[in-house]
Amino acid sequence: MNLKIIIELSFFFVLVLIAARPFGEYMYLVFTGKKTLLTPVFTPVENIIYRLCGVKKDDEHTWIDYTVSLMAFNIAGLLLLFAVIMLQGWLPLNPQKLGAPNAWLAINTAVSFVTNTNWQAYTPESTVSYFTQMAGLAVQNFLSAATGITVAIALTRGFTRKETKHLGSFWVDLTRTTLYILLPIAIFGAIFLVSQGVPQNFSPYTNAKTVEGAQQVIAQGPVASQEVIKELGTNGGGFLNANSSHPYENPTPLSNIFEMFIIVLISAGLIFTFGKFAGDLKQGRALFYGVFVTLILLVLCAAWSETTANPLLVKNAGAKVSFENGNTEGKETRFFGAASPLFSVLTTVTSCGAVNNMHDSNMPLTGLIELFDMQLGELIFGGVGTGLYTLLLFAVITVFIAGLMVGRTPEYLGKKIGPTEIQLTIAAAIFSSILMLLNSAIAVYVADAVKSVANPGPHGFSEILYAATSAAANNGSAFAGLNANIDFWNISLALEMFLGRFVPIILVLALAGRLAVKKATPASLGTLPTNDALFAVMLVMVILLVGGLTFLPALSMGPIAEHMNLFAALK
Amino acid sequence: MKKILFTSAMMLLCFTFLCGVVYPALIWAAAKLVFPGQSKGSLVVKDGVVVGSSLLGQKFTKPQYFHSRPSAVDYNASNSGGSNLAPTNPDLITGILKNADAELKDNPQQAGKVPGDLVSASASGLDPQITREAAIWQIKRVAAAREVDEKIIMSAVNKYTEEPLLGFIGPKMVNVLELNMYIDSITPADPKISVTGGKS
Repeated sequence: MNLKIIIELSFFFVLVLIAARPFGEYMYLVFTGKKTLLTPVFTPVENIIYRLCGVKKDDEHTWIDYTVSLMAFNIAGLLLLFAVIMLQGWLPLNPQKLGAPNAWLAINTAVSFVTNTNWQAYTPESTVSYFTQMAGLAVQNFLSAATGITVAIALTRGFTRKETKHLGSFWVDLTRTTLYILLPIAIFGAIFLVSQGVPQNFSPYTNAKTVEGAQQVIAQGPVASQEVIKELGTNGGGFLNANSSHPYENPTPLSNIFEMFIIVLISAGLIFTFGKFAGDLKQGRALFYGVFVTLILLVLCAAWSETTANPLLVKNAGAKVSFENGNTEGKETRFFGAASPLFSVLTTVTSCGAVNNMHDSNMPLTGLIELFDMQLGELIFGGVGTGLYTLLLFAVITVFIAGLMVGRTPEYLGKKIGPTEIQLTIAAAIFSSILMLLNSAIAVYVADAVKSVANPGPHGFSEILYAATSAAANNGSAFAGLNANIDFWNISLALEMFLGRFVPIILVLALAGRLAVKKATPASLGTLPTNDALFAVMLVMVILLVGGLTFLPALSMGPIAEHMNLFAALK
Repeated sequence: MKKILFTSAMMLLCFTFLCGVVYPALIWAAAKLVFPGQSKGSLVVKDGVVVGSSLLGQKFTKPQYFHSRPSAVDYNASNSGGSNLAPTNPDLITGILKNADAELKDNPQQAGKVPGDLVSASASGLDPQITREAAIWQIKRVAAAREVDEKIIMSAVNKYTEEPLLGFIGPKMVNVLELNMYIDSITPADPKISVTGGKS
């Protein structure tokens, strides 16, 4: 850890700080139907879509209609994607003549992309055609991101509207998110990435004859258009196996900064969008700084851990090798320094799951941070939309706990939090944790799952815990040594991804519906302010407490035990 | 319910067309027009033959070339990936020691320790770069194999050293393929079979 790394990190955090609020205000304009710079460009397209699909712009949904529309749309997406994957052999843009994969793998992959997880149990280069990637997987990268955002906006409306059954229109929110937020940035970003070297073509793989005369077959494809939405929508599924560590996905230090920036852009901005809806930007600011400071602390720990040499290697090979770039196993030269650990933390605190270095080869403490980031519920900015609604769930839990302490009915933004609301909140907040622990516990009893582990000792358990965590959190990154393409993982992780995505969404929409019909109580002297630093600190404490209590036992069997073993081996 | 199913299906078709066909085609056309080289994968062509991509590492084994980092996929550019060895895995330690011994044997002229990146596998298995220190470590060997003055190779390394972005992002590094092709253009790879007599 040196000054250069601190400057590099500060540079990135300042970028986020500058962009989050204006972008959040822009998204507020989009969701309230106000005029923006892009209105003249996209309104005609928007109107054509509504006409073709039989949607009326001003129709508003109750929470039940909103939920039914969302589920119907996502299940239709799931079926279409599964069909595209299985039929790719007959579809165009398949120069490598790839056929249908194993059906369980196809189901796992379809669920994975529809749920915004992008867990990949396959090697893209030898499994999926250009058509599958571009018209199947990448489309869900847009739509699953948009789905998450609509839920966050619906919950925001639940908090900020008064005495209404209406939460907005799922179709209008979906369309506007895609047209005004995702597509414009994707178009600009994809062209920028091409300028850095990310390919965009439909050519067959290139046969190269290397300088020393060997053959090198180079995978090609429409990488750039998929790469940008992969980060922007916190999806994370790589066009190529090595994901954002592959030079074709992330060729330069500059492309890396850009990719990290768009991973957090929408989620960071949405917190301010919430503030705008609440009519008090300070409500957003308190939430924002609470998670922002937590993020910085996590990044500093990870950066220290990864840029310090692996002491076990220093002990055994230090006489022959110098390790001044820290733990370089599984890292790209152009991402030495802060670029790798920063990316790893950003990808796990959000639900992105793209990687620019191999998490399986990270130091135990870094692995611990990555696991814990996901287990906290991915609310430190979090996934697009999912991050905001999970953060709001924890804000409700915080006012609830504070209310218990002083013996008052808790309220948030003037909405009284009754027993039903708190039950829905708690259920939505901890549901995924149950899936993570349950599937980890099952897996250690399944012989195939144990055999799929690549590394010995506690790290092997970490691989299992990471897979079960990543799936239920809809993250999609992996300790990639694990052989995930076996029936047990394909089926159990598909279930985790589906339930971990849609059960909380339905509970959150139900909560939104209940909140929207309530009237707002005016703030009194006894009301806990939720827009100041004190609340931000309490919120972070509650988040860490709930996450810590839930996962400490599991984590001590994995990364914590590995860390202890490592230092015991030095003696 | 029927209406919701209809709207779902139509929305899905509209966005599949827009985000899955129009958008990638638009990027393809724009990329072809503005950045034709990059859009095709930054391929490097020598004498009409594609020798690789300037963005992708490839395997170099001969002493007269700078060597790339160890690759878990043996520089297979249609199957990328890392070793995924845990920091506590004994195989990682034996692997690194083996690589270090090989480097020390290949570079007997060099005093000091082997730079860490030269003995550890990259994330993609296709890392195009090595650190500047790893390039400097190999200069004596390359110069000896080519029977040229070290200074010539050193100036080539200097010429191909990429500085950190803005002075603080990333290490000083060298693109191995570009460097090797450049030194091939100024000195013959194998001095014994050279007919042009490029010794200097």
